[in-house]
Amino acid sequence: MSVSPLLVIIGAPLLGVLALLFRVPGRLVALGSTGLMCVGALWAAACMPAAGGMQYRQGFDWLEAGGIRVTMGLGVDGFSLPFVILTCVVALAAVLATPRNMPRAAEFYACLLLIAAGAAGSFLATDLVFLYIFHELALVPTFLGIGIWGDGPRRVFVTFQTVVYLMAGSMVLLAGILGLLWALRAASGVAVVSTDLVALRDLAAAHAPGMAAQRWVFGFLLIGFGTLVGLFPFHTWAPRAYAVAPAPIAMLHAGVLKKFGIYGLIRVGLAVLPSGADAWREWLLVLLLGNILVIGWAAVQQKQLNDMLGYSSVMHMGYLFLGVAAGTNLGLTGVALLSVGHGLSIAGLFAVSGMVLERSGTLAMGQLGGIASRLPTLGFAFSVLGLASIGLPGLANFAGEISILFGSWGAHGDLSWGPMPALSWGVVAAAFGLILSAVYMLRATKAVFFGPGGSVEVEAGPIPMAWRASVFILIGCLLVVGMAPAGLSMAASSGLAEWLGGVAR
Amino acid sequence: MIGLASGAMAATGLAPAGHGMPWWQVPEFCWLLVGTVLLLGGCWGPEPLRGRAGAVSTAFFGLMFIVGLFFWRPGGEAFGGFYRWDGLAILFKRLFLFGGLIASWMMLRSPDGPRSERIEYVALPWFAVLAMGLMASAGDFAVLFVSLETLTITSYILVSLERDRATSLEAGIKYLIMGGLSAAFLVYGIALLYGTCGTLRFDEMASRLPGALAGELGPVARAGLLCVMVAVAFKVAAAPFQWWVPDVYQGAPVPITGFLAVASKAAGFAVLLRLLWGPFAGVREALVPMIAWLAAASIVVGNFGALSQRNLKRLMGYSGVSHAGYLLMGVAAGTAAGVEAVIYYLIGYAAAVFVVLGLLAGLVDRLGGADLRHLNGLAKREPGLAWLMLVGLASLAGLPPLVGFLGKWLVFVAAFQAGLVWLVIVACVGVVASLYYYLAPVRGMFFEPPPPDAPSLELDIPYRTCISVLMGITIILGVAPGPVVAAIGGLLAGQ
Repeated sequence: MSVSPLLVIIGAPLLGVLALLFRVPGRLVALGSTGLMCVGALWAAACMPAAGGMQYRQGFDWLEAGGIRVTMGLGVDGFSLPFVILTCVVALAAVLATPRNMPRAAEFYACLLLIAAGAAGSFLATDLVFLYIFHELALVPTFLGIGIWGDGPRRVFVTFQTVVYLMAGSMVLLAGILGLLWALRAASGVAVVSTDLVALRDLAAAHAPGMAAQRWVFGFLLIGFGTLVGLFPFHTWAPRAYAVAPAPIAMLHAGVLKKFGIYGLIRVGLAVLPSGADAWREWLLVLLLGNILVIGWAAVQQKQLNDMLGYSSVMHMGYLFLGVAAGTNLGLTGVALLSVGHGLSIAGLFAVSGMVLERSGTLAMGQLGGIASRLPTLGFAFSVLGLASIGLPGLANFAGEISILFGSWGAHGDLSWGPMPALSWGVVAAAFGLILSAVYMLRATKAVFFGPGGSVEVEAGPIPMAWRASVFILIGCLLVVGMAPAGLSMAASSGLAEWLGGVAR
Repeated sequence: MIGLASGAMAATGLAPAGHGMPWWQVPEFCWLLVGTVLLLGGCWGPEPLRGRAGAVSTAFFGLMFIVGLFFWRPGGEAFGGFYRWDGLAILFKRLFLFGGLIASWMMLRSPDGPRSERIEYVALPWFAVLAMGLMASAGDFAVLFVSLETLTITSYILVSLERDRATSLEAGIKYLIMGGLSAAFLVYGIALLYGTCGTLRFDEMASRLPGALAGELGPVARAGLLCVMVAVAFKVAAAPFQWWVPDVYQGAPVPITGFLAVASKAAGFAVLLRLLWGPFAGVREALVPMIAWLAAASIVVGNFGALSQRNLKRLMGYSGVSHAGYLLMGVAAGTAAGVEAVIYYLIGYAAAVFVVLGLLAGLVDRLGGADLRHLNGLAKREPGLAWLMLVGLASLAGLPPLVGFLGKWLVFVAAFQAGLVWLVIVACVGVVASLYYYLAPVRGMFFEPPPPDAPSLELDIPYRTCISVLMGITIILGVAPGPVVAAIGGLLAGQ
């Protein structure tokens, strides 16, 4: 097997964990591995041929049992490329944002690297079962990461809640996967179903499962993937987990790992079960309105900075789901772009809130204030990242949001609520949601960073270079993607067009 | 001399293809010889030898396991069909030897309870493994009953040998009552089946049972069938016949707990598969709903019963009940894929259980007990051991990329293909619940501070290595399952 960029991306963190077993200094290993991941991502992006389809494909048959052939394969296409780049950048930023005096550092970096490996693997795997396996790989490190290094009185409870909730979502997903394979086998009559994604898509295109099967299986996939993303009302784990988790874990989880559900829903759900997706569109629309409006309102009510960020992160998932519900090429391209933008900005915001916690010992917005005058770096970073998250033009989120909104307006005119297509209502709500997010984000910026000083003492010493580097890498990527989104959006668009074929209009 | 020679030949177990296998090629004779020599030598042998009996026994288990792994080929039967030598028997015998090997190694090294100078601990596992081997090869109800009784009686003694500990005695009594009840069911069922079919031979009964069920003595045959199935359900610890498990697992010395959890459960499944693909083959379809319900009940009772446990051995007992449920799913599928899945699952389960209980056996006296709170702060005291324990528990919880996930995947696929969708959904719910209690010890190990003035937890290098190898098995079988799954499939197909 020759060395491909994908092998570098997936191998670097795993080798890093191995090195940590042999007591190599943790920070060095973590920086090296995540740096290598970024090199791999750049290499993959730079040498990516313009022609669509899965690139750098390599793999072998892994297991054949019970009429199912599982293959171990890696590959990347224009649609997964943005997610892969996001993973590598955020992984590097998370390592850089880890304080040097982290207790039990080797174990902490091992957890970070395992989460990064799981996330990268789930975006690179070209096999349905490995998609699942890689995502599950991140479960135990998440548990340890929140439980050992988390903060707050309800730490243990939140840790268990998060992990059991995520496992519940995963098991619904597993049932959906089994159902999918069974439905395809029943529809096509082949003796052995390969779980290779390309083979599955082609099999489904040739022998589409019946309507009832599609509806059932897509329902399972929607709830399974949806729980992992934080689809309303299966979101309750997310804000709490992010509020308690240490900043680097929250960065990786909220920024990257959560996107797995959206990615999987498009990669598997829309491609293999298009009729099932049609059947669930109205439900999905109702639920994502819950994400945007209900959780947006909840975010406005929060008194703690990281609670607010957690709700904001769940709220923005509503926009991603809007793109999925629309299912148009433009909307789905927007999903890829917004995933990148949101991942970068929320990771940066969690890095800032982690630094605020370190310096002031609290995240209560009522007690903080005027931090920007003492620590201008924090004020600048939070303002830029907050504006990105609201959707300021010039930063990556705007490109994604606008694509989703344009892609959704008037889509699927056959499904109408009153005078307008249902999806246009979704766009209206999303536009209103933008106002909500401006309200809570700007309010938090004002309360914490500007205005009069708060009631708690803020330690004003110099901010570590590594931390600065972390946040500036994230802001830099936001700017680059925001100013010149064409590279990623064209890759995503052509990748999606090739992958979904006639499905997306 | 003749005995030794025949023993050496028997150890190879090389059977010619086709029928007829000379008695001296039956490996159980060799095991019997080793056990007897150990017992007599331990009682009357010279002092230096007596002290080493445990090491000798472990070495012989290792030797037999290696012979079994590399030299056994299926095909043939001995004693006119009373003894089968097929792929199923070979796979299970390997598993029993593996269980015996690890358990006797644990007894040798573990400071908990069993001392290798107590010769019963050294010799009895050989008789237990011998009985299990005969169960897996049984071709006749008489052989089945006698070997099952041998196993049960050996197990009573092993469980309750810690005479100075009340819990051990309590466990022995519970096991005795359970064993008596289950034997009663079995012998009654056999009697009824004999009465209606007129034979004890598996192959003859396979052809006569459907007729007997349809005939005028149908209800009697049905009652016999039911009694035999209940006895087997006791043995595999399936709910609602699981009540003895937590107490026995908690009371027995840790190495014996591991031996019961792995080998004894596997023996139960060997019998179940042997019966369903032997005398009950004609009525397997009719038994599927019953097995599926047993599976669902075990998954629910095991997983939800474990949630409130505060003792690791008790927790492993309930967890064992839930695993019996997952394994029964594979049996209920009633297909070759299901049987393959059951055997793969058992191998993975054995490795993971021995990681967890092996660590516990090595540490229990210095931890001060087997309660979950005794594990507090283990990650600070001994990070390596805590991570080993974590891998074992995660594999039991069925998290990828460990073998536990793969076992569950194979079993779920088999059950799904057989149309038991509801059972798969019950099992998914069970897996979610199980994550909570498998992570409870992890919480103590990683989140809590160690108790003050905790003694050091040094484990010697060979013991550590052994546990690490077992952990390696859980990872390798999870990452690269292809060859082993193919080998199991090949053996079951009789190649």
